[in-house]
Amino acid sequence: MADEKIVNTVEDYDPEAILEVRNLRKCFPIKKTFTGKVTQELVAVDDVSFKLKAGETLGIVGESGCGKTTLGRAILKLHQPTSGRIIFEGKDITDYKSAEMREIRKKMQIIFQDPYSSLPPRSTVGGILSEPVSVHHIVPKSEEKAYVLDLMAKCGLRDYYYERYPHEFSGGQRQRICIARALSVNPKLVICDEPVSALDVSIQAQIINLLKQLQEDMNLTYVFISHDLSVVKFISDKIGVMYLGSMVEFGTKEEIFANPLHPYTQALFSAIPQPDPDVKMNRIILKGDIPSPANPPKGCRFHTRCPHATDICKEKTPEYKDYGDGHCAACHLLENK
Amino acid sequence: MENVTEKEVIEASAPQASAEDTEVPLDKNVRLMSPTRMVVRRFFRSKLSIVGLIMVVGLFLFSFAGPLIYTEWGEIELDESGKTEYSVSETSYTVDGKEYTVRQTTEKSLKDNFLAPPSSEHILGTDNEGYDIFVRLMYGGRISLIVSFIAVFLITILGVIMGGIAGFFGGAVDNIIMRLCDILICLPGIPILLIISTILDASEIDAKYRIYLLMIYLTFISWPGTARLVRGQILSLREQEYMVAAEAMGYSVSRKIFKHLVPNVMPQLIVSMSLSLGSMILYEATLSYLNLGVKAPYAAWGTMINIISTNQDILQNHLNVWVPAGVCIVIAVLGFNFIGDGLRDALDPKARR
Amino acid sequence: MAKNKNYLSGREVRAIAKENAKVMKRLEAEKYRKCEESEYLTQMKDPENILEIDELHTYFFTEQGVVKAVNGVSFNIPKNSTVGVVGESGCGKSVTSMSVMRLLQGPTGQIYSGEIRFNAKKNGEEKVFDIAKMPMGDIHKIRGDQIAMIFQEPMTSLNPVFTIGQQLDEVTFIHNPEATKEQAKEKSIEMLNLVGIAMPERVYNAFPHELSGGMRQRVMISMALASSPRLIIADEPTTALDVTIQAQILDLLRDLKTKIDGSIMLITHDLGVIAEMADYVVVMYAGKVIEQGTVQEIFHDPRHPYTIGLQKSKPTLNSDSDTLFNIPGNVPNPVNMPNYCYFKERCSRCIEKCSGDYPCMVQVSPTHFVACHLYGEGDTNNG
Repeated sequence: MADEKIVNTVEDYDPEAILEVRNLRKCFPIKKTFTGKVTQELVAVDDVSFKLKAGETLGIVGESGCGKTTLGRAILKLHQPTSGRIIFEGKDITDYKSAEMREIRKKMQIIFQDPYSSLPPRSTVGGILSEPVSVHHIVPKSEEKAYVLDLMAKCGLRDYYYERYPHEFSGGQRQRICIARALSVNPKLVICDEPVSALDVSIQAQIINLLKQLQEDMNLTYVFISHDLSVVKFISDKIGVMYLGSMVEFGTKEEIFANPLHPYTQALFSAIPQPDPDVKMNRIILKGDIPSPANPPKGCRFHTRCPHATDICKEKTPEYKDYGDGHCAACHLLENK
Repeated sequence: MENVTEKEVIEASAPQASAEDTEVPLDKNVRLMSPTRMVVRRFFRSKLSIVGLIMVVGLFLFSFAGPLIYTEWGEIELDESGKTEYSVSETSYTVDGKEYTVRQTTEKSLKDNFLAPPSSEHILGTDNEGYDIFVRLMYGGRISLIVSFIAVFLITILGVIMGGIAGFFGGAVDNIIMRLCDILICLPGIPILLIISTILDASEIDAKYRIYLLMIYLTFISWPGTARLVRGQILSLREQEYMVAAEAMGYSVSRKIFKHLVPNVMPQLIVSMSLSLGSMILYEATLSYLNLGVKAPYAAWGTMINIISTNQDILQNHLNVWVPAGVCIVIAVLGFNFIGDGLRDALDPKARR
Repeated sequence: MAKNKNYLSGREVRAIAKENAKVMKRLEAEKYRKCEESEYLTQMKDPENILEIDELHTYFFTEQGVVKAVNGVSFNIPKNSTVGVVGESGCGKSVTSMSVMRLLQGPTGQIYSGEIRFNAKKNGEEKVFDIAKMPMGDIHKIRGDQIAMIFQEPMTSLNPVFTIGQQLDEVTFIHNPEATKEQAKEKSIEMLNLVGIAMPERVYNAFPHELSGGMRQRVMISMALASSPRLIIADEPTTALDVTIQAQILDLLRDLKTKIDGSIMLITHDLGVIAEMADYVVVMYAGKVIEQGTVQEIFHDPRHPYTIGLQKSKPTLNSDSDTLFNIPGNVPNPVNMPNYCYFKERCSRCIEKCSGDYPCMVQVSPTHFVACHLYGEGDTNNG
């Protein structure tokens, strides 16, 4: 955090990375004095850094309250980060004003979890999809409808849906509309905030396949946020595991799955019920509940539930270190090895 | 159905990469109700809202179409057919222990035919000046309805703008507007109306227009209610994901407020508008009754009831003079309230299904 | 008015409403009638079962038409076993459980026909009730007492203005009106202990908002257990919870099953949860049971293309393929269902016969049944 000022200039950016997040931190005030001074804050995202190459998919996994949604929205600057830097295509967009952001918004988009509340109820599908096209002048006015219909076809929506209202569709179809809306402005980066968790299993598979297909066709970069490790495994190239606001492990998919370093990642793997009655896994059942992010434990945040916690874990926050080939983790156990 | 059997049989074990969302004919069987029809159906399911609608439509026809059809008398047309008034005075004398009563009848020929009983000429009779009550009811209705519609319209516009700004921007702007609302709600309405009315009297404004000026004042003190409603709605809508999506799309602020937020507040606004129409009619009647609003010779329902305050005899013996106006007020207020309640149930998304 | 043929016309809407009102009125009257107990006493087909659902039809009479949410569902819950009901949203799995509890929202939701036979045991005496025919006035004999329910949303199913203790004590008082306050408290704390709450005294005095989701779900479970029910219906008990908390709750439920003398009906959309918890599995699709069998049969030898597809489309940690298998199309909206197999449009193994009548249940093994034309009578090796 000390070198924050130096990072401010974006000369040292990685030309391969489309998105770079450096020491991102987002706090929400929860208690204020009468004069407006913040006396207690909730640290939703604490010191998260990563790089993402164009065309790659980063999966972010974590349980509720781990700050994964806040991270996604902070990258888009739907929440102004408290500190840290967001570098998008070599430009530091952290301090962009809303007018400047409006231009950047074309290049980064978001898909939400709930396909029911994320579509305006009083517009037709055509209206929803053509609005961003006309606002950002993506194509000339006369070609707008053809463009939208083409987009709908790409996302597996029939052309006669154009005149219909969102409430007439099932969850899966609505999520396709959401995807089409996000892609209507030709973005480079799409944040998928739990896009399949509200859907049925058979529909989930359709949407995941659609997202993969579109990534290939349009050369998209995804940040895929989910609580479901098995879904993330399917779509991601890199995976970040979050717990109570901080990134506890980060690495390529192969690395994380073959060799999970952090005890939390290990527990997360074993907690997923397998659809096979014969697999009686050696389950690691974590004790207790997730602590409140408003009042996180001292030291390593995971020590209250960690099966391997030692004294040092209660005192000192472990450092987030690279344990080879970009496989990073934050755990005292690893340092001693 | 043949094409189904001809369809390529894909082994269930093979991964099937299909981005196509095949529209299944099963879905085509399902036809839903259009949103408008759903609202209309819900509205008409309640008997009370039908009653309310009949009441209000009836009043409208009566007030606006009535004077065009029934043209016997005008609003300020006196029945000058003349009237003979007899006044009887009795004097008692006692002469030689016997009581004599002398009854003296005075015949007075008057120019105006006032306080005439209902007849074929005057359906509801005439009032104490000689105006036709039935016709004045119609004209009174015009004033009441027009005035309350204008007031409600202005209240809504002002309320939406102020509430919208407060709700959308929040923070200091919100604070200022909401404190302004608090102050306006604290103002005592009727005393200030009395003062304004006195000022209007002094400045000799045409009797026809003073009611409009008073209603503008009413608008000014009544918008906080609507503003609060709109602000509350917008605060909750702002958290909806489609608003976050609009933000992520990079839409401008005015587009977000007027194209995305306000249309979604409309149902609640329509309900509150129809409910406040009733209260505006009451307000107008109260003002006219207190002789602050529409002044003679122009008719308003309130003024027509006000006649009883000048003459006790009318209150007891000439019900036809003031009861119809009272009934009209009750019908109007009830009607608007019934419609408002019906709309609230019809537009409430929670009641769906 | 019929400008758009996607929408119902005014005349159709009125016809639907008229038809619905007639049926709803009759069913409502039946629901609130007063009658002798003998009228709804019945016999179990198999005394080893605790619950037998037989040709249950539960309909919702909406303004858009009759939604046949449960359309002829039959399955049994044997004593001391866990039956998992699995299916996607709108398949009628929750409505089935609501029918068993008679918690359907009237007047739109009604049990149209069918039997729900439940083997109740009160004071050592066994009686078999037909829940579907019980009047609402008598339903307290079984609801909450003999059958308890755990809901999906632990956040909203506890009353926020009472402490956990008050809410737990209430259950004891209802089922045992003579209990003293101390006895009730003792019982409540015992229940909290049973569900693995570390500091039961503290939780007893806490308000629901002070507890986390996992804790609340534990409290809900303890509340369901308080009356020692013979059947617990768990409707998506872990869906709203995080994976690590879900693992705890599943562990607890499995533990409890051995401790209590009762059966569990577990409703979920998660095949993983089913595989771990259930003895028998019932797979539902669009208001019908399409396959049922033991957990081994369903997971190792699934027969219905939907069951197969469902298992394949769930991404697992062990698989390595690049794309997921997916079932095309959408879950149908159960209004105006045709009389052929409901899965036909999405099925990749359609045969000519599928355009015919809805397939009936075919027995594959003594416990394994499937409703699919691919498996004709006696032909169990096909596919």
